[in-house]
Amino acid sequence: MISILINKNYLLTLFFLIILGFNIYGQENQERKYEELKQQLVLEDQKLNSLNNLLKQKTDIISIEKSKPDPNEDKIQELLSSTANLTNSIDRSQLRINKLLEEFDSIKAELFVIYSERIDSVNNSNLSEDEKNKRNVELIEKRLLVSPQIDLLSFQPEKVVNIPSSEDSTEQKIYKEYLASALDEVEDKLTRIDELKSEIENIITLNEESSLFLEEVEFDSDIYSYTSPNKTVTIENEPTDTYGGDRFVNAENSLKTQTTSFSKILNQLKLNSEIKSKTFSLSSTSHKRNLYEFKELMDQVEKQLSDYKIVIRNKLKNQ
Amino acid sequence: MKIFSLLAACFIFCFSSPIDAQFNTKINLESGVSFDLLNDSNKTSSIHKIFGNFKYKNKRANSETSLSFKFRPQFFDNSFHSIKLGGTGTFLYNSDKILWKSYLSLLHHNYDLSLISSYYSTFTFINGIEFDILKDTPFDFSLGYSYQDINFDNSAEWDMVFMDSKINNYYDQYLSWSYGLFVERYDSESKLKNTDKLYKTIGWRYGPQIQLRYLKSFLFDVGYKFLFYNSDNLANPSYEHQINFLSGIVINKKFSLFLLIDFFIVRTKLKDELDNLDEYLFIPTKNENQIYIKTAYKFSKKSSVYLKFGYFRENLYLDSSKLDGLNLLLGIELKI
Repeated sequence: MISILINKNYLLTLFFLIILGFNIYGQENQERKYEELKQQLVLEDQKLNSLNNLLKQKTDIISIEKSKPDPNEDKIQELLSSTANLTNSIDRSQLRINKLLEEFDSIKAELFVIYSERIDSVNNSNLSEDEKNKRNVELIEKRLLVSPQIDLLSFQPEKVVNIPSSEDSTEQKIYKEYLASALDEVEDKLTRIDELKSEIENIITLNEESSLFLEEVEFDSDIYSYTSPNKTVTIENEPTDTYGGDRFVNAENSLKTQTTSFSKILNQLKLNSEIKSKTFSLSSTSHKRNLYEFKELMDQVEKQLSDYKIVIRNKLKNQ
Repeated sequence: MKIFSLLAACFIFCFSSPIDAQFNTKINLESGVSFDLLNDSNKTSSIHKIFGNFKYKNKRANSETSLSFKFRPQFFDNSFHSIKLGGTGTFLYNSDKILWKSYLSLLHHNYDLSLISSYYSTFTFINGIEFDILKDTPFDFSLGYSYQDINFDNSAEWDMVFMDSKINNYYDQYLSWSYGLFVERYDSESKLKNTDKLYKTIGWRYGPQIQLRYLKSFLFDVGYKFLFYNSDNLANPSYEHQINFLSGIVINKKFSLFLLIDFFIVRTKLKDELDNLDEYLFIPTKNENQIYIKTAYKFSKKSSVYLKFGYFRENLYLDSSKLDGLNLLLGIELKI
């Protein structure tokens, strides 16, 4: 018995089982919280809507009363005081929603990481590609629902993920057409993103290599390098000097230049809505991003589209 | 220099933080041959260089602080060597509409020849902002101060206050150009060898600057600055051209080829041709002209090998002496 316990393979398997257990427990726990928060958000949102409607009704009544030739001041005062209470309730409700949204984003980000880890562990196994996709498809669907939503596709992602299997031939035909068109769109976008990524990677490599070259040959140069017309400032995360060391350092690294570039590329992708989550945030109107982060966004969009591709193909197969 | 060290320490203390810290180290080892060194034509000498760069970076949501230290010893046939040391710090803060930026730099160049030695030190502090004056039209504005201390048998100290402004425009995400104005007020004191007499100069340098840049499958970047001089001891017209050109291409993410042309030409006339003081009465705007071609092969993200061929001319501020010549260097670059 002792020798079995000491057996390294046994201990290793036990260790992984414990880790897997914790992982699954963690996932279930977070999923439960996710669902609870989702429900709370729906309820709080409904409450906020009804409070807003009530406030509108009261303000309408006040307006009507005020427009009368002989307005009832007591009634107006009473209504005004009740609207003040309502406004306070609306503010409190909005604060609760903001807090819930913050928690909701946080849980989504945690679930995103958990699903990704589980998908990666299946991908790293020795199973065949079909088997991997089969095992991962449920996790991929779940991951899609907690991914930052990107306004990139004309179809509604949730509808695709939640599309049911149907026995009815007409329904089957409609679903198949919908899924086939969604698949075409996803593949088109993937091709375009691939081209853009390769372009961005080339620009990043050129930027880095030219900066290194300038560092080597210009270190000993004068203090005036910062005043050269080619000089600009970077806020990126790769090794380039700001101001001083490099004479040319790169206009493409300039914050404003990059923002300009982004907005144009984002326009090409029709990716203009604001995306926010704990795992990634990008606002096309924000002047805070650079090429490296843009590439990160491309990677994430590519990953998400690939997930859609797997899910849609699977749905098509099952129709 | 104590005050500068203190400023540097304050900069580090105020703006650095252990959160999101990144450290990068890069070492370049180069060896090769150099021709026509120290105006001694037909002489070929061996040349060895080491270039080290240590960088610390701290990035937050809206700000970034970086500090770096660089050194570069150079050895020429054991008869001459030089060492260049530098420390820089930058701080960037991005508010919604405006990018705020600060820059601090200390550089020290030391030359040791067989009979003489000299050094050249600079301190620079700049503050600037960048914001859109129109849609997609960023405006870059900086104010700075620089102090230079050049010391050999003769010595000179320079104080400079300057303003640098540029407007950037974009044709698309690949092609951009900028234009602007540079204005500087300088104040210098020079002391000639074997005499205690001080020569003082006060003057202005100003002029337009332009730049054109294309970056997609290849890089093409050219800049030009034309500066007029106006001072108590210079006659008109006195002026300076500064030309920078950089082009490059990367093939298969492994091979790269780059060309750099970096030149300045100063044309100045003294009001009084007394004492032959010309080299002390001008600002040492730049101390190096150079043309370099570099081809590199990347083994991995951390290492590459390269061949560099170029011409350089370095002003030693020593009775018109120049360290110049052609050189061919084989180098390795390692990132840690």
